[in-house]
Amino acid sequence: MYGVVQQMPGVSEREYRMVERHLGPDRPAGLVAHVSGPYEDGWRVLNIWTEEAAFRRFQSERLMKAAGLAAQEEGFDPGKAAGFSSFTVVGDEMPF
Amino acid sequence: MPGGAAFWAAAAPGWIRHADRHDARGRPLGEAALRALAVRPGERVLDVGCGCGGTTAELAAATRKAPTVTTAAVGEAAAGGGAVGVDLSAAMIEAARSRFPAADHPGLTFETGDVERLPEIPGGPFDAAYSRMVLMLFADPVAGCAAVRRSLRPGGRFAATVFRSGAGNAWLPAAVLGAAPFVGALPPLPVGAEPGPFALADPGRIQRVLTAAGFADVATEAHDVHLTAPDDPGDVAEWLIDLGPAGAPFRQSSSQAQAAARTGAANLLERFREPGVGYRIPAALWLVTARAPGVSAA
Repeated sequence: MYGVVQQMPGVSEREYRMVERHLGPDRPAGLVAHVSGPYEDGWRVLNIWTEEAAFRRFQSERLMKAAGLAAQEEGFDPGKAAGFSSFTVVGDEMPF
Repeated sequence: MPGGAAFWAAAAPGWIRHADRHDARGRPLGEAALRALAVRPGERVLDVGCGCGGTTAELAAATRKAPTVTTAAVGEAAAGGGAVGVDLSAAMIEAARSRFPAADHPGLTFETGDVERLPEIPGGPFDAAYSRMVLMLFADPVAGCAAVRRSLRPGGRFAATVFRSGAGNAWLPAAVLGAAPFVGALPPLPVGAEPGPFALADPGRIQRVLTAAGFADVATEAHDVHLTAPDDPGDVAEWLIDLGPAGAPFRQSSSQAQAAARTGAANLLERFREPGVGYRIPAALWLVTARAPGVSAA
């Protein structure tokens, strides 16, 4: 398992949905779980993947293209895409 | 993520192709560090991550200037001064040697090498070290900066620039996202502290890295500069695409896809353009200065 938290300062739900729309309907290969919501500075996403490589492929092949289309077609600010900070999370077995 | 020999081998053709453009237009990205370093005639200077050599040539020229007309004959070069440019990319070092032949540039040498792994940087010890927009791309920034510190004489000066924030450098993602929908897969974005343009955006991390690397008197200072370019949207778009993570997939794309990528990037860079005048692109930097411990013998 591989988890990534992305914090996007200054990004609103409207802007987040712009990018999401351009990802298309197909579930990314290797995505186990996805949740997102607001935090004090912007929008935060938590994704759990089967492995790190699946996340890297998603970034390379889909996310950046979707963000590019959102910027060109809907006015998503590219500067906000560069503000992402990400943290890996460790998936542990729970004792219950 | 940007970093490593494989990434730079793929990126090198873009940097080589735009070397002259980038020397002219990219100069503001390192100007504050050049001023802070205040290279003196006769000094030995290291240029860390010199790329195609333009900054190293400028540093070498500064070390070879006659100090003053009262202490040296007019036109006489300062003896012993010079600059060494080191870069991970063998192709860029080859380009640097071709652009600045040793015969025409006394005191200027270039070396291929991974600063993070070199036990000793050739040509040292140095009086000063310079780096423009490179430290954040080290896989292990403490190891890289420690190698720079070891290459300096006691009391040697270090001045570098790094990007300050994504929001203050919107041209970087504009060029990447403008091209991304039209070209092949891009290298993955950095996660956490992985090497990338904004890996040293936090001044606290800069302080920690340089202190752990053994530097003293570490300081960061915010600088806001502007890159300027002629009013040629296709040219400006291609310059910025080619130097970034979209560069390699861009160069591998069909001419039709390249045209679409240029248009896409030009659209997102339009906010920095004044038609008929040119581009004025804001860039937010940290000037990083530090000193190798000890007292210089000079």
